[in-house]
Amino acid sequence: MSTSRQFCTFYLDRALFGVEVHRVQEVLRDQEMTAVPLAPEVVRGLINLRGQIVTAIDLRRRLDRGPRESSGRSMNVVLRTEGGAVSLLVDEIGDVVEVDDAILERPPENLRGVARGLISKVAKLENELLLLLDADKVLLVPTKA
Amino acid sequence: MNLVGELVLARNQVLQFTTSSSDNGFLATTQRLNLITTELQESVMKTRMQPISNVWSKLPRVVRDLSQSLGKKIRVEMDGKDTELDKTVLEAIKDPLTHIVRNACDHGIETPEIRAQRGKPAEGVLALRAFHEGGQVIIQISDDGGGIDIERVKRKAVSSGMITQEQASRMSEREASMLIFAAGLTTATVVTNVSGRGVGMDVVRSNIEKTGGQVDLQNRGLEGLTIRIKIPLTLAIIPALVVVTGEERFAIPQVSLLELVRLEREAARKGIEMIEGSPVYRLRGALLPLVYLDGELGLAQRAKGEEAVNIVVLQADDRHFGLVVDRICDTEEIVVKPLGKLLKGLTAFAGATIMGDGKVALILDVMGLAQRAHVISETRERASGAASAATSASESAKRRLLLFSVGGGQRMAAALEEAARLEEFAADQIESSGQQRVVQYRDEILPLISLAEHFGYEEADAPGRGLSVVVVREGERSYGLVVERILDIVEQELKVQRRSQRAGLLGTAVIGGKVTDLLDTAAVVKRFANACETHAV
Repeated sequence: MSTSRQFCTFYLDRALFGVEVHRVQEVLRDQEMTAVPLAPEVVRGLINLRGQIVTAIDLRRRLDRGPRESSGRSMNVVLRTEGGAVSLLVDEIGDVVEVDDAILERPPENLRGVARGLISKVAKLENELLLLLDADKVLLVPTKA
Repeated sequence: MNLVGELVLARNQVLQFTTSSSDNGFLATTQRLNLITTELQESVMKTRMQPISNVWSKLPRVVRDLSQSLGKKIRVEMDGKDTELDKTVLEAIKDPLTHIVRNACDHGIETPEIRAQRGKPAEGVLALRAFHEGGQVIIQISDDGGGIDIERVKRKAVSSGMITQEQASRMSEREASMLIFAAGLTTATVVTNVSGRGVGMDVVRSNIEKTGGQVDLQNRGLEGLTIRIKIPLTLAIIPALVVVTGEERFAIPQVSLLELVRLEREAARKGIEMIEGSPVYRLRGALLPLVYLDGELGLAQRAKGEEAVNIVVLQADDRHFGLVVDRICDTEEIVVKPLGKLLKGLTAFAGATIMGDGKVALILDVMGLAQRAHVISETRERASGAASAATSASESAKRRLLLFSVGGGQRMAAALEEAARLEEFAADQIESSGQQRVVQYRDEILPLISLAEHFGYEEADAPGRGLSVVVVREGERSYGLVVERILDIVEQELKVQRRSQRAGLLGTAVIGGKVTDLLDTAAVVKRFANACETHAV
């Protein structure tokens, strides 16, 4: 008997990514952002989430992907962490999908770059692959020296 | 507390709308809302304020237990028990404070035998003081023990590989004494169950810095040690100045704000000068280093010299610098929110806040910014304790100064209020008692201290000539400071340019257009009195 888990999915650079649904606090539309000078590059800015200040991370930069071609507005996937909420900026939001453990597989060996450390599992969905992110590692932003 | 913060923010947002509305009923209502919010905020703040005696009350017992087990005699003195602090702050400083006190008992105050050898009373004194100063609460813990043995601290630091021998030899006394706040350093030769395990002062410091406070210490050698803790009065809601630079808004806590200077186009071009590529501005005769906020934060820079320049004069520690911003908006009560973990490493910001329009603005950390911009640096010799105390009291206020010359036209000045009287004594009035020259003065014997002698200048007085004397009172006694000539009394702002390490001098300032040494009257008298005592023994 296999167990299944739910993942909140989103698109980034046409690839489908997912984080465990219980880590996600909420999903927001594009928010007004205050840039933080001197901050690590992946930090896009700060947003006001009902009086709480949330750091927004540009997931494209975090995964070393180029900037978005179309100037579409990004979505915020707000994650719960020990040190308060953190938002991931993604291109487009997907569905919440139920993933059976049986279709999970370790990321293939030929996966390289930053993504290798951040993608924990690959789920083989019927029509596409869902890349499952390790939220804790994604939020562990290397600080600039 | 958080709710009040939210309310203040909501109020600020509502107030923004009033500017674009002409509905009288609405304006009146928001006016009332504004007042009520302010009052509510004040009363909530008040209920959170508790006297420091809540924490202090446990200390005498700690000291008594410790002194018994260490075989020492220690008396605790407390001053300013009613000084109020925010409850959370009080909670946060409880442990550091206890630690400092234990340290003072263990390392600071000596055993009665050693104290007797050093000519101190057998009973050591641990004095706790708390008071308000410039929107901050200062807690001072002083003991009259052995102070910090600078050489030993340096040796320890070198042997534990913290610093190199070369660094050690270049270190100022002050820097070296700050080493005790470094992690892993212990100077106690014996590890007791009280202290000496090398964990301690670094934790004390980080705990206090977590509350937004600062620790500083003044080593008075064998006379003891004073530790000063500065704590911002309230942490959650602070008044701040909002400035704009490169499209971004920043809030500057008002505590650090001294003044605002605006230079119009012409004045800006002339007023801002460069020293080796570093911009400075002459603010009432003193050089003010300038920091361009846009440049410092790596924002898009505006073309300089096009428009008026706005300078925000800030104080970091005891140094001043000018922050150049594009626009100065208004002051506002802001609610300080911490930055997320990801941004903790940014020393230039103290936190963030939400502005009236709902957008986030960053709060500048003046200290961090100054360090980043190298306007103040840790390695630079900082002011000695006495000088900073004396100047911080006087820095912004005008002071009346007594100008006189010493030993062949050396210009010196002292605060006028220190001088009780100015007297001229004829040569035949001067008598001597032992080695000491004295005069009979108002039924007292007034010892005369020659300032020329004190500072090693040539004594210019010809025998038979009268003496100009500044009579000062120190405690119960009067002393006469012999000067060459009284020159003038001036009233001006005192800007100490160069702090002096020389005993008896506070520093150097430009007074009446000429470079003048500032006399540290108290230090001179004290040294004289000490010298007398050792003679007496």
